[in-house]
Amino acid sequence: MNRPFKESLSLYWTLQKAALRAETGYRFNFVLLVVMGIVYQGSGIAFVWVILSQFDSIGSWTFSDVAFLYSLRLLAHAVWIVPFNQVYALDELVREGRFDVYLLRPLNPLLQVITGRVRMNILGDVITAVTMFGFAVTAADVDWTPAKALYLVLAVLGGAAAEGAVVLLVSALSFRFLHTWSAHFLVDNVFLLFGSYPLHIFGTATTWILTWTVPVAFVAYVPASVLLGRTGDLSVSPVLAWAAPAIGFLWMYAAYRIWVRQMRHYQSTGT
Amino acid sequence: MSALISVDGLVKEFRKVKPHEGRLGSLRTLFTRRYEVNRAVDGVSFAIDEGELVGYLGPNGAGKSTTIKMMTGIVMPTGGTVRISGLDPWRERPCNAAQMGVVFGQRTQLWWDLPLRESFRLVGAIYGVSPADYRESLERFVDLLDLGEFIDRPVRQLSLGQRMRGDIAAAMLHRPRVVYLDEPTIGLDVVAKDRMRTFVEETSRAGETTIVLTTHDLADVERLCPRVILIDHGRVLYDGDVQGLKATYATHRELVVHLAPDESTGRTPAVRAADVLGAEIVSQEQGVARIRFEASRIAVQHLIASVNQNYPVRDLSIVEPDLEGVVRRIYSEGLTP
Amino acid sequence: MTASAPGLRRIVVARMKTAMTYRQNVLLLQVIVILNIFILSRLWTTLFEGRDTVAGMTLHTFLLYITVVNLQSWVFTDLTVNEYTYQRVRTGEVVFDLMRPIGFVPQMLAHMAGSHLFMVLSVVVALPVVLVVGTLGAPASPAALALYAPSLVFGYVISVLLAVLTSMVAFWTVETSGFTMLYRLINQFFAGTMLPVSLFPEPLRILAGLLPFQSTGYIPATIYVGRTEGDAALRALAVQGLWILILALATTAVWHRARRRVAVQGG
Repeated sequence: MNRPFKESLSLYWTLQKAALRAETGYRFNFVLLVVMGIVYQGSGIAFVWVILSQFDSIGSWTFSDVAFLYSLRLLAHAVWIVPFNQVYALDELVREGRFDVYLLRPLNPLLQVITGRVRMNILGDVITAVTMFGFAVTAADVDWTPAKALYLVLAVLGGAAAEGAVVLLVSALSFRFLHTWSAHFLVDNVFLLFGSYPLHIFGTATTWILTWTVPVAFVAYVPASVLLGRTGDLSVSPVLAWAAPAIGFLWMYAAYRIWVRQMRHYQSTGT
Repeated sequence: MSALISVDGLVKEFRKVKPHEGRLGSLRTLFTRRYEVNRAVDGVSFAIDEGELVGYLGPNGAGKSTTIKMMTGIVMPTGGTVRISGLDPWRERPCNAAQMGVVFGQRTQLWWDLPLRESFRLVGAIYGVSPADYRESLERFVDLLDLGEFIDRPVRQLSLGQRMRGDIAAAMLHRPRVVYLDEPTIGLDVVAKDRMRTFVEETSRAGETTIVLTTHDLADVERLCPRVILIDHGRVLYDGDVQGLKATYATHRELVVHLAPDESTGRTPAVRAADVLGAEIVSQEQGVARIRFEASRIAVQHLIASVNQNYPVRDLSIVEPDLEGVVRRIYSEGLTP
Repeated sequence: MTASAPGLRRIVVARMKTAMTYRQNVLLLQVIVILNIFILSRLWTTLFEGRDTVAGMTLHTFLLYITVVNLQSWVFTDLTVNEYTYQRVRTGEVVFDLMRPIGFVPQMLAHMAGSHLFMVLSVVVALPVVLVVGTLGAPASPAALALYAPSLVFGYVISVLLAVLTSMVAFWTVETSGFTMLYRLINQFFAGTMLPVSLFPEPLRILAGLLPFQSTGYIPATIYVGRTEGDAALRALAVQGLWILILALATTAVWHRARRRVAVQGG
């Protein structure tokens, strides 16, 4: 039975709205959420600001350059995490036996996972990311053209896909291992720490690893370099740099197929 | 005509980490791993025709739930085949899922925080039920299962019985060909249990649905299932009707004798082994003796005559083997056919 | 309610055993420490270009500081108590804990001791890699070592008290995970794991002085590398001692309120 894509999409919205209705039954403090989002997401930039108030540049990137890179990464992260944040909780679903229910329905289990719940604290992250990016983009040293604007949009989507692909791969571990939080934590750290700085300061070996084994570079560093006109620093050719979003999408496609295949290791040993 | 459900030589192996023993065991487990393979399902075969109502029994750890999980497409088999209406539940999961409904006694498929009605609407959307069919199905189930009084309450506020009724309706809304009921009466009170059983009975009688019922409650089985499949240690021990099960395994009957007290002493005599033709005196207390005998070896009328002759019998009754007792014996003694 | 030693010891051992069977967790946590040290070392090496000293430290000393402060932070990291407290409160089982002969707080502490002992082990095992990505070295002087030992212990006690204190949030709210993440972030930043507190801009530096976090990282680590020495070191130790007092009082107070709350709400 192959569902037409349109039907799957409409089901996605129906289920997502249901999850939202379920969540609004609980009280949450909107202001608190936003504040927490700002503090959490903004702390990295605070660190950079502190450093760059005393030093001129990081590896020849100025503060506005780094701020642009950092907020580009945050934006890509937000674009991924808003629809897909439930993927991180797959190990919990497996442990509690709720994943069984998803398999019993004639609907893509991944779609059911991501529409299982809505987390309102994501709102704080999104608002922070968008605001910060708003500021950074105006301060950034980019001469904008229509091509660059389009590239920006694609880069955000491709960056989200690149980071999301790795998260999806880690999430697939849930079919074999009961606890994946530490793996998620590690991946999150890697993308947060490395993804927010001009990679070349970490040396060629590290840069290579973070470009070709884990696509950290493609989340924000490569696109930012292209937009800032700093392709000279890159270890990849300018052509490849412009194709960065495509590489993100490829990663996502591969990760999805692997995720689906890993389901065969599901043992349903939850309660 | 080929069966609706056919299971052939089904096998499922699980690999588990086996921790090392001893004091430094934990430390060693950190560096090396030893695995043990557990054959939860070890070559199970059976066929179920359309419209049947089959009870699937087995103690915990027998491989019962694992078999069902393979039939419903939750777990991939290690070996053997399973086909539901020609479909492979694992490889053709969505197609198979569309034609089946599952009810878990211990877990719900409903949306916890939303009103029950919402769950039905979502289920209808997921299974692609047409608006007309949906209306008709919903009406039927609201009526049959008496859902009207709580259909607008959030599922988390429902009692267990109410939630189970909601789960059944949700599972059957799309008129599935096959329904799997996993412990549907667990935790329910007597009235709710009876209502559940009546519902299952009537659904089966309507003839449109094939039902596989897994349960520990043997009263369910005795009332509902013309056929039972008994599984233990991953293998099918018995596949047939309940009567046959009793006849095969329940070889013993019990004679319960109420003795009259002696008029002068007020005490009741004790039945002696010599008087019961080699039967086993299970218990004797307060003037009631229970004598267990193998029906094929000892003719009941001879036993009764012997007891009657030697003792002041006030009342006699014969206890037929009940399924509970039979199954308990099979589980505990591990009898094989 | 008095704590019984054999009971507590059993908890410690059990917690270590649990930690060991989750082999993946161990490995990943080690990797995260190592990554942190690597990134910070590279970052600061880049920032040092063209300078002899920053914050009064040479590159080598600075990198040693970074390595030490991060190793400390990881040994002190508590991953278990929050979850433990949260689970117990959520399921209501905390009522049983309150009734048990071994008090709840000593139990929590035993759990932490177990997981910290294990962290130490995992750090020791990872030292060869740390040597490569970071900078290891001996304390600046025998005096430094003599002052470092008590400072480290004080820092540990403070971080334990903070962990207990913050885990009690579970008695008041369900949504603890957001709070936990946030707390960890603030903790790490103000403990000086990313850069020495002395490099903070003025307003942040003042804020850091009012918080206990720098006593768990920055103070012991700067004593170790010899950046804080002599009288300054002794004063720092005194500040640490003061924080222990304050936090111990706060913990007791919060604990009593938590107990009362459970009694009122029934867990």
